[in-house]
Amino acid sequence: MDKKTIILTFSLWIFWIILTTSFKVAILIIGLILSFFVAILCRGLLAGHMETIKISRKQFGRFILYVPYLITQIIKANIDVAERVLDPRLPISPIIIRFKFPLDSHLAQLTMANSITLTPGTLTVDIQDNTFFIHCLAEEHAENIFGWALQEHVIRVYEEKEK
Amino acid sequence: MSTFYLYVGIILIANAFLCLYRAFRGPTVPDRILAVNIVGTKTLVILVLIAYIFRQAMYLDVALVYGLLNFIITVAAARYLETGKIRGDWERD
Amino acid sequence: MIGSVIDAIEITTRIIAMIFAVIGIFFFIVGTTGLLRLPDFYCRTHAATKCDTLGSCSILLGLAIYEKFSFEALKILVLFALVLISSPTMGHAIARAAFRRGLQPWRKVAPPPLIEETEKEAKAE
Repeated sequence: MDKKTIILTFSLWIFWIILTTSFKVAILIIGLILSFFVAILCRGLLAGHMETIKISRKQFGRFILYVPYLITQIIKANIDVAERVLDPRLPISPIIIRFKFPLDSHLAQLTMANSITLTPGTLTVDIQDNTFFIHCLAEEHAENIFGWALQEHVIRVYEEKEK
Repeated sequence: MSTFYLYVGIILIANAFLCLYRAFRGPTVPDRILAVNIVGTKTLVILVLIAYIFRQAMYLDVALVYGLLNFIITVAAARYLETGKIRGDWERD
Repeated sequence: MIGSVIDAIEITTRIIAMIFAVIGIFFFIVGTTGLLRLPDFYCRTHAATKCDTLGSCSILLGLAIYEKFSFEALKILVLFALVLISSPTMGHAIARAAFRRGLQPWRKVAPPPLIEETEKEAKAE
């Protein structure tokens, strides 16, 4: 009965409570027992990845501050795609580029990849070690991808881990 | 309000059928997987709208499980396309 | 007095939910148009992932606001987070599978051998 099992049990229990939406004592106890058994059975599957997604409290706070920027980027991206798709001339010139991302942590890479996919005109196609392969919808997206505000934002969120 | 959401649902179903045309037409396998994935996302929203229109909170659970299954199915299909196998590690042959 | 305040809140949430739903439908239609119209798989992934994420998130958020943050609204917010995280991941998974199988991207001009070149460079480093 280590720490991981307890964390897993309680996160599964919270999910159970959200699903059942009931606060009867019997149902809560059944949920706790079931989530304990599921946690023991699936510990090797789920808890093995827990180290890779460890996040400090400061990083979490900075991540929350990063979310509004991401939302504005998502809205911009959608308006951009809508303009290009609804334009009868279809002004696209797709290209695949590579770029190197300096951080090694999996969580930072995950955040970066999903952010790239959600920002204007870019889509992460592949990650090999630290190299991202990015598909750009038009060449002007590829031009302003280097020296990018987004990358600095993500690095600022996760920089503490690298020191 | 529920009449309004009924019309929203009807427009979404029409959209889903248009997406199925892409799944039927192809031309490559990833196109088909993508189209089916998009139809799954639309179905999730339609299930939430059904839960609102018929006042059945049960459909929200169905939508939740449907979303998770859609995610797993898409990842498994992409993985099968990439490596050619379902079990084992993530290397091709 | 209190009744009129409750009415005002009701009408406001209803209008907000309707605006969100209309935005969502617009982006769903854009996504479908992109899926049918764009020339190759990678471009279709652009339209599909971005527009579908925003469309479904917008409709779900409007519905959650209209439900006024009850337990149903909490479930809808869980669905919202699920769509927001899983949709780009699914697009990335399919795109990666297609890229590793060697599907060439469509080019406007005559296609240079882009993928082989970049792969060679990546191996050389």
